[in-house]
Amino acid sequence: MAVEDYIAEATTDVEAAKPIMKIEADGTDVTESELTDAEYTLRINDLAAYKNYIALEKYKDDRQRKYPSIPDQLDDIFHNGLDAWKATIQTTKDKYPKP
Amino acid sequence: MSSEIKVDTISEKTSANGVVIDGVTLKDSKIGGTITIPGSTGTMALTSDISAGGLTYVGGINQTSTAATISVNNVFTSAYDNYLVLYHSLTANGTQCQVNLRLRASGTDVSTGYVGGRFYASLGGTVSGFVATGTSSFYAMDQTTNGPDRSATVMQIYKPQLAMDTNYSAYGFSPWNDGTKYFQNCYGVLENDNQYDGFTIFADGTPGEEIAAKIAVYGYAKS
Repeated sequence: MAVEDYIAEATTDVEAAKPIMKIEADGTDVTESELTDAEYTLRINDLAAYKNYIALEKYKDDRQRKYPSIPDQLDDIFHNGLDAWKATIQTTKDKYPKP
Repeated sequence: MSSEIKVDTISEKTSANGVVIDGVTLKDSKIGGTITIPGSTGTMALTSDISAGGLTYVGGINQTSTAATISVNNVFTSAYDNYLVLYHSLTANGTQCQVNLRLRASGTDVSTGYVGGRFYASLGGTVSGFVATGTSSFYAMDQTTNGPDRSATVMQIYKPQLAMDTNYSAYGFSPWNDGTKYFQNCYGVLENDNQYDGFTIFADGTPGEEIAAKIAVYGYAKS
C-alpha cells in the first residue's frame, strides 16, 4: 500500500466531515471560514498520508515508545538472561504487531 | 534660560514619599527601591536597549475555540530576519494528534519541499527516539486531550521572508494520550527559494482532530 491507495478513503472521510473550518489571523483581524477547494485537497492528501503512516509505520513509533530504556534492557539481560529479555521485548512486539 | 546642577551625590532624604523630579518620583536610591512614573502610558527603556533591539511582538492569536487549522498572516517582513513563535495549546479535539507547521505566502500554504526530523524522549528517560518528519510540513508537537493545556512549544523560523531556504527549529513538552510526557526537539529546512509572510498550524489531518491555541510571534532584532 502507498499514500495514493488511501486517497479514496480519505476523500470519503473528509467529505463526511464537511464543513471543516479554518481560522486566520491578520493583525487584529480574526476570520473563520470553510476550507477552500485547494485546502480540502491538501487535507485529503494529509489524511491519506496519515492513514498510510498508521498502516505501515505507526507500529514502529508505538514500539519505540514502549520498549524499556537501553540501560534497563542491559540490566534485564545481566540479571535474567537473554531469554527473559527476549520475552520482555516480545510483549511489546505482540502488543504492536508489524502489519 | 538653561541651568545645570553639578554635584557628586543627591540623597533622597524624605521619610515617606520620595523626591519628585518633573512628575517622576524617586524613592530610596538603592536596588529594591521605587521609581514611580505617573499615568499608565509611556515607555521606559535604556537607550542601549533600544539601539540593540531584542524581541518585538509582530502578531498572533488567542484562539479559544477549536478549528482544523490556525493561520497567522503577514507577520514575516523585511523588518526582521528571524522569528520566534510561542505556541501554547489550549484545547484539543480527538484522542491524540501530531501538530505540524506549514509556511505560507499570500494566504496559501506550501506543502512540499520540507526536510526535517524530531528527537523525543519521555520524562524519566525510558523512551527516546528519532524520526524523520516527512516532506509536507515541519513537526511542531504532540497534542492530546490528556491535558492539552499543558502542551507548549517554542519555534524559531529563520529568514522566512528572504528568497532562500527557510530553516526551522522547535522544542516543546507535551503529554501523550497514555499520560506519558514527552520532550521534543524538532529541526528542518524548507528547501526552496520562495519568500513567506506567514504560517499555518494544523493537526495531522484526521477529521475531528482540531486545535485551539495561543500563538505569539516575535521578530528578533537584526543587530
